[in-house]
Amino acid sequence: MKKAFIFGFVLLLFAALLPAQTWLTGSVDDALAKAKAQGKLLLLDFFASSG
Amino acid sequence: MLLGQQYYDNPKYGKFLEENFILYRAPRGDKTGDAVFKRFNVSGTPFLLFIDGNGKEIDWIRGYSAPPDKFHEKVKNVLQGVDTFKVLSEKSLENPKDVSLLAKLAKKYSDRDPINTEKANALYKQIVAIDPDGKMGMTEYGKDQVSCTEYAEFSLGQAVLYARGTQRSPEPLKAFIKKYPASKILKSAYMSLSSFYAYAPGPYKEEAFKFLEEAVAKYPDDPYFRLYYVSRSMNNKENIDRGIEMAEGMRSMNQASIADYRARLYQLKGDLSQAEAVYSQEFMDGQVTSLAYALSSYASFWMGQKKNLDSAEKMMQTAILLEPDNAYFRQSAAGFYLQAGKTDKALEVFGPEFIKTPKPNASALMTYARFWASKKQNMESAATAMETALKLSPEDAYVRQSAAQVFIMMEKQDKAIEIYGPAYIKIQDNPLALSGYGRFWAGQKKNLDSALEAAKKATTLADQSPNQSYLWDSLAGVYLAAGKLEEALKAEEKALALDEGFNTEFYQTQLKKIKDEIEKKAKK
Repeated sequence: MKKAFIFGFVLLLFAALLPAQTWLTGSVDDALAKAKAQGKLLLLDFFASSG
Repeated sequence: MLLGQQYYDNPKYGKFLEENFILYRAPRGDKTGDAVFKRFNVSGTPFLLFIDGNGKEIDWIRGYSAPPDKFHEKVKNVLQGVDTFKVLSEKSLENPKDVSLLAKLAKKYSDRDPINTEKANALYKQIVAIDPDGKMGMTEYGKDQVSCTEYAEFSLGQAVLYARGTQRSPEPLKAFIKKYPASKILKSAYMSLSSFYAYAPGPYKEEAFKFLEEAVAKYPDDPYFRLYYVSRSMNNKENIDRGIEMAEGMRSMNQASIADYRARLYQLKGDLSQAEAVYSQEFMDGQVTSLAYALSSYASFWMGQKKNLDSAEKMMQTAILLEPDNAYFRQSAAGFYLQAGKTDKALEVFGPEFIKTPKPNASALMTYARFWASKKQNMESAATAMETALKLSPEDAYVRQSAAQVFIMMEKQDKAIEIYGPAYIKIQDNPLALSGYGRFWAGQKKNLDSALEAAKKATTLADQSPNQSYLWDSLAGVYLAAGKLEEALKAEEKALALDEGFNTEFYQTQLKKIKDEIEKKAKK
């Protein structure tokens, strides 16, 4: 019981540390091709580390 | 940063984003990221751009403000096609006289590129032409609704107020104030004009003080209007007593304590995301910069008086501790130490070590190079800094012009010409960049043949440009510098003929100057 609890807790902790989404970097054209293939919009996030 | 903390990293929205979009991140300062900024012509951050699989821009969101739920609504609207750029563009083709639609589309354009507002302005002009009396539709302005025509006239006035060069004029916005004395946009118009008049050049001095008095009388409880008056008074060193009176009335303006009250109230309300937005890292960064600025100003003031120097030096050092990577404060400190005759100390705070930072930025390097070139010291390092800035931003006209300026200060004219000379104008086809080139060399009274070629080329490239009169005025200036007075006269007359009424007075003054030169030459 105790082991299962610890395992569950570790899983939860791991999930919390995972990034919320997968962000592509690298080639925008590859990202566009992926968007086209999946019929989705491409969301480009332009950001600066300070803002 | 706040967008990441409150929105992207929030599991509440993560799944939605993952399921509905392909997500791509372009960080500024990273080689690939910078290339993506350039490819999509994006300047400010944060900025979200939504593109379909064919590479067509569907919509965008500029900036982030809490609460994240409200921001999420905006993202959902994009997905559902609610008032997106794509939808508005299509609808406006079907209903070209729908002023509310045109106003929404114009706002989209100015949101996409707040600096080059030509597309938005063309739509605003269309709105005014379709509905001169402002009865055909309303548009949002903050929490209020205003007539589309009123909003369009305000936006056009703002565009002229923030235009470059001689296109700049306060007149359309002043006309707006007169025409709409009860407008819900009135305070914004007063604010924009006050900020303009606080720093506008000499010829505006008389009307500036008059306007700023009018603004303070209209909004006596708003300390920002007083602040603009104080700035003007200090810039001109005039109306000092009145400036002091205004400054005394600004004591209530302590942003940090106001923020503290706001954050605590939001916390009491249980709205921690708003409290976080008020008391954010950005807010504290701003406070740190303000303090560093105050300390460095204090130090420079006492250095100017040659009094209180121990305290001044301590405060200057504290400013640098607070903002170690900021070129402005390091430059101020170096200037301070040079005035104190301590060149070693100046080089310690703003010397060759500074330009060896792992990720130098072009603007900081230019500041460094200009500073030392103007002091005629540390020239070798200044030249290295300028070369590095050029490598980082080889196509930036401003960097090239600064480099030319620096090398002229170093008496290396050949180098200046190599960077910003005839070869440059062959590859340049932006009329404003060419005209800037002409003005620069006319000001130097050097390289005038090439300056003329560039200024002429600029006028041929801009048949439909709203900057036409500015380009002709530039050409007139270059002719004048080259001593070709008849040609200068013709070009200035052309500038006057093309002027839309915003700069008539300025062009007339220029014309008179040229005529006086012609007369002087005839007498000789």
